[in-house]
Formats: sequence, C-alpha cells, structure tokens
Amino acid sequence: MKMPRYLKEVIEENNRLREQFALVEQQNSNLANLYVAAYQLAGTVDHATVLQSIQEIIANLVGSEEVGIYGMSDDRTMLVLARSFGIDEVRLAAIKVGEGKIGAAAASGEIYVSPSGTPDEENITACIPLRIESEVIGLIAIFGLLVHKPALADIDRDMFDLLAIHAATSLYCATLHEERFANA
Amino acid sequence: MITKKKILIVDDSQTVLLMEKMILSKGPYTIVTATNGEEAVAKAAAEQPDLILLDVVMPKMNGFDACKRLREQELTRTTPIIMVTTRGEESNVENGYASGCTDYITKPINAPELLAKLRGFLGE
Repeated sequence: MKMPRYLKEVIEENNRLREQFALVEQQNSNLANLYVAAYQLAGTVDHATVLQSIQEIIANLVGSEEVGIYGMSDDRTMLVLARSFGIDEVRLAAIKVGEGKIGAAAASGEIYVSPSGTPDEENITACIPLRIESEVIGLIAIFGLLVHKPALADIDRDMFDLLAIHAATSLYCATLHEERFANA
Repeated sequence: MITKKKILIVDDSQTVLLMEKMILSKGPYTIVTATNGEEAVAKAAAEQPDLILLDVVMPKMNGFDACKRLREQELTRTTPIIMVTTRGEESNVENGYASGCTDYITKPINAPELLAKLRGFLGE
C-alpha cells in the first residue's frame, strides 16, 4: 500500500525536528559546561581551591587525568609546577620558558593544541597559557586523555579559551588575596 | 499535572554536581545531592529517589561499595543506579555491574546521552 504523501511529509518533518532538538540539547550542554567552569573559577579567592577547580574542570569537563598546572617564576624564566595529577612530577617540575612545546606556548602566550586533538609524540595534547591581558602568569599542560575520550572536541577548544582568561584571573586574585592577608 | 521524578546525584566534585544539576534542572526532576558514598546510602533511604547517579571515586565510601550497600537496602534494591565514571576501562565497568549498578555513563558527561538514559529508565 502506498503511504499518503502528507503522512510522508509529517514523518520527514518529525525527523527534522528530532535532529534539531538533539542539536539544541548538545548546544545547551556545551554552554552549561562553559558556565559551570566560569562559575567554579569565580567562586573562590583561595589559591588551593582555584587549583582544585581547574583540576576538576579538566578531569570532568574536558576529560584528562594527566595534567600539570604551572605558575611563573619571579624572574619569568621558568614554569614551576603548582599542582599536578597523573604525570611524572619530578621530570616535569620545572620547564624553561621557550623550551619545548610547553615552554614555547608560555613564551608566545598562544594556546597549543596538537593537530590531531590527541596526545602528540611527546604525549602533549594541549598547552594553555594563563594570561592577564598580554602577560602570561602560568600554564596548564594537558597530556593524555581518558581512555574513552577519542580526541578533543570543538567545545574543549572553547573551554581552553575560557580557562586561559578565567583561570588566570582567579589565580591572580587568589595571590593578591593571600598577599593582602600576609601583609595585614 | 506532571509528577516530578526524584533523582539523587552523588559526587564529591562540586563541578560535577553543578553540571548535572544544570542538565537536569530543566526537566521534570527534583534533585537531591550527596557528596560521598555514606551520605548517599543514608539519603537514598530517607529520600527514596526514583533514580541514582553515582560517582565511583569518592571519599569515605566509593561508588562500588555504596552501590552494594544500596542493593542490600530493601528501599533501594530495585532503584535504577547509573554509575558516572571517568574510568571507562572494561574492568571498571565490570566492577560497576558486579556491584549492582543498572547502567553507566562516562565523564565528561554528554547531556543528550544522560537525558536519554534517564528518560529510558524513568519511562518518560
């Protein structure tokens, strides 16, 4: 029996709306990710809590448990590990600015993402310089991804842009807050 | 009138709790939270949720042990439990099922996937 034309049109329209709904749901999810990250970073002036929030964001919203969060040495020549998880913290304790991919990202202030969105030959997936305006005050290095995360997605790149600014501002504020109480 | 289903979210990470609350808050759900396995077992008995989202790595009592305890409790013996884990390895998933979970989902959470699972278990 031949399907009436109007019924076919209704089915096609239904499929189209279902696809649109799925797309909107995904967009909402992406926006929620960014909102949650910004909210968590802005919610504290405690240095350790900011570092903890960055770790949680990378683990739970990006999908990596191999991360180093670096601060900048006073003479601005070295990245110094402030917090890490899942990496060799002795080997990666300090990195010279300008040296290797991590050091180069710190020197340029530009986010590095491996071309494939997966760990490269040095097991680096992304380097996110933390910037206050044009000054780099630290860096987040992401190494391996979780086993079920095949590669970085577009939303992860948006998340890196957000982290570059908001994580930097939160860490900077936390440092100022600590100094204020130390001097009081 | 839509009857809201109650969901217990268990995670020690405030980031994840906030994320999951945001995903679910627009749906017909009442949200209850706990931040470790012990609290989850107590809250599940008191609140009798329709479904539990359970993290694995938590202080005091991990998700696997909490899941076993929930299955021992009469009130939560058949409550759907979805394990939410960063560890997607097969052995970890097997441990989840062995402890009595109904299903699992990996972090980073994919909202459409989570909502689809909830709709399936809650018969929406």
